[in-house]
Amino acid sequence: MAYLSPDPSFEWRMTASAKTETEQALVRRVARGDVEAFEAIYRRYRLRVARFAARLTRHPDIVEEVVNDTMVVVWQKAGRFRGRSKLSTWILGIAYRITLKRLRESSRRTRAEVELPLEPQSSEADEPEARLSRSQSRERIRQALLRLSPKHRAVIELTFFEELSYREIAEVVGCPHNTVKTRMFHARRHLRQVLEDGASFTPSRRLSDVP
Amino acid sequence: MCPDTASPRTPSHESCLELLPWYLNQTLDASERLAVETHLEDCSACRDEVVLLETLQSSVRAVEPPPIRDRFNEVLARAASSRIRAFRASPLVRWLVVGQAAAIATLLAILLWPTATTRPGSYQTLSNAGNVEPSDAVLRVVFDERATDLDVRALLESIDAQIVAGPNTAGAYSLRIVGRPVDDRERTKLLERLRGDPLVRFAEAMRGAPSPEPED
Ligand SMILES: [Zn+2]
Repeated sequence: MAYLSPDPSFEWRMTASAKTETEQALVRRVARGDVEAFEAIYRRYRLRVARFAARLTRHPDIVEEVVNDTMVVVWQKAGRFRGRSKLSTWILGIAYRITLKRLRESSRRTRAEVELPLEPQSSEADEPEARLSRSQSRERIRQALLRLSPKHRAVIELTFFEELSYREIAEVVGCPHNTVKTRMFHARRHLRQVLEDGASFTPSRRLSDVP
Repeated sequence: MCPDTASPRTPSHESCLELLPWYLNQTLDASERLAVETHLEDCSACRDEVVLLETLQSSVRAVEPPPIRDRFNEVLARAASSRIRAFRASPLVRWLVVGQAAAIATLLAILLWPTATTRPGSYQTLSNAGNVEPSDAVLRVVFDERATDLDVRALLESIDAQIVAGPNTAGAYSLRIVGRPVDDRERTKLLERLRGDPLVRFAEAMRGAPSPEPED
């Protein structure tokens, strides 16, 4: 693992795997109409689903609707959850389909009222020079990501925030493994282009310096 | 670009490059990981790509989740009523649910209103059918016969309501709102909410309570 920096989410993922059985038990209770189990799942996944949906759309109303609709579907379809995949993968898959459906519906309405303007950029002029390039490249990446399609952004988010394997991502978005890799590849190429167009991108650390 | 793409021990440069994001998030299986690590030793292009991906990773992680409101009660009410709609498709299940609701209604009648008969008559004159109602009751509601106690509980929770009396001979329950004052505007909103719910057959403001219609 010479090329990896310590992974802060490692512990979180260990906890998640220890919780797997509990989560399956929770879903079984939801399937029987147990309100407390349903509330537990709602509390555990509300912000996670919101975050994921927010990466696919900038419309705050859609985000909240996606969270609520996803949870209603979890309640309705809990009996069909077989536990072959993780609960998070199942729930994010539901959220993914609902978000894309919402986006299709809203693109049929006037685009102007659907897309919010980009949030104002942070005032980078105030920052110390050392942090400038890092924050600039982050900002440039953020802008570049916004120009990707929701399907490409989903693969990025599921990889780098949710830390799913490409096999799990394929389950969430319902496509073959190779499509996941291709979408990721396209997103990376686009990103590299944007960053190389901007003159000031300097990597925080040169990996060739690593022994 | 990549000196050892032909080596049998490592995957080609292309397939290594493709796997790097999942090398970084540590989800590759053991043989994939080993192949990538071996290739990285000799390929500076792939090492550069790791730098780019680390920047991408840190900028993805830096984004905060959007602030969204806690809507559990609303979600629960919708979830419960959607399951009722699903039941309607199946006649057998529907009869079971109706039976359950009727049993619960009877039980509630015995507990809360010993002298009442539960068979609803006309819903047009709900207030005539009742007896004494607590003074803080603001709304009168007849639930759909298919509503289970779970549905009713979820619906009431979603509007912070409690049953204070009922059912009267018309099958109506009197509700009060807990924890906040109810003015005209609020009462109108509550009525709209209840009347729009498939679990509610009838909802009205209590007689003697101020008019539910807002003045402006
Ligand atoms: Zn390479």
